[in-house]
Amino acid sequence: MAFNNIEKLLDKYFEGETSIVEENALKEYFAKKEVPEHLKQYQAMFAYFAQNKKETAPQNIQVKPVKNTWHMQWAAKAAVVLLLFAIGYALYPKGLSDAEKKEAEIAFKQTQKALNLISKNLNKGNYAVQYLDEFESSKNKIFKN
Amino acid sequence: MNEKEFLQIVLSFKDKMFRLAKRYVISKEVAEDITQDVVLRLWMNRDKMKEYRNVEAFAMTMIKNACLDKLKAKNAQNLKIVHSNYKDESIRVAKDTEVKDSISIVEKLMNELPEKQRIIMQLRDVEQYSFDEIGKILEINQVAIRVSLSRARKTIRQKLIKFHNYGVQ
Repeated sequence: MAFNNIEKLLDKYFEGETSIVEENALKEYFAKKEVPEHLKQYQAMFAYFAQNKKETAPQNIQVKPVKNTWHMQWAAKAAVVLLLFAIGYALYPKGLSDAEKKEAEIAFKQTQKALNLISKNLNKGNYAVQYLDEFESSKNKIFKN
Repeated sequence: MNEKEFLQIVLSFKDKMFRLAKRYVISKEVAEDITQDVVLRLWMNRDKMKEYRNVEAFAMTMIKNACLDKLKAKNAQNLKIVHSNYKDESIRVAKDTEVKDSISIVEKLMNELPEKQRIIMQLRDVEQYSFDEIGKILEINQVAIRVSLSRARKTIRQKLIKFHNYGVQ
């Protein structure tokens, strides 16, 4: 491209009026090694734009989502279900079923029986102790101490 | 949208997102975080992605907003954070100046431009978006874009000429 054209393009460029195609022509022109002395200062400018366009994002930027989203979703669902159960259990009136009532009654009767037995036997013991007292008083009468 | 389709779409402009973020926040690490964050948000909303006619412009707008939020938050916390990042970069570039690496000087000059100008320059001169697309990404009108772009280019030219005449010792 002739210098004349380039200078016209440059003027247009600095006014912000060039098209992408024209800007590419400028970039191409200044990418050459031999550029007239008075245009040399623009070389770095276009070279920098081209260089910057090659800069890439660091590799560790993950486009892949966090791996455990899938597990987390299920865990969240499970947690909600558990919570509902817990609330339901806490709110539900604590009534006992018929079978449980019967069982409790039987257990009560058995306990009562057992306790009666114990108290009877304890009374027997009492009786024996009374007998011992009698024996002692009789003995005292005989030995008169 | 399955993972494969998503990857295909997003991988095609992942680097552009990163470069735009870096042009905003200057720091490479912060730009990386922001890009990662936007990619994840795109993945979460992948079902809605089909509704957007221009997914790339939409993603770039997300980057823009995320960067502006980040800069605002940092400014609110501590005015110096962003500024010091910026300074570090200039020191690094200043060292390159000694090596007379004129390409790095352009980078330094570009990052010294006002935010709007350097972002528009990034989108046009580096990424080669049309004015229509830049308008969509930045949500501003095309006249404003041309004005800012022209100013940015002229500023770089002026400083480059200055550098060319006196800067090389």
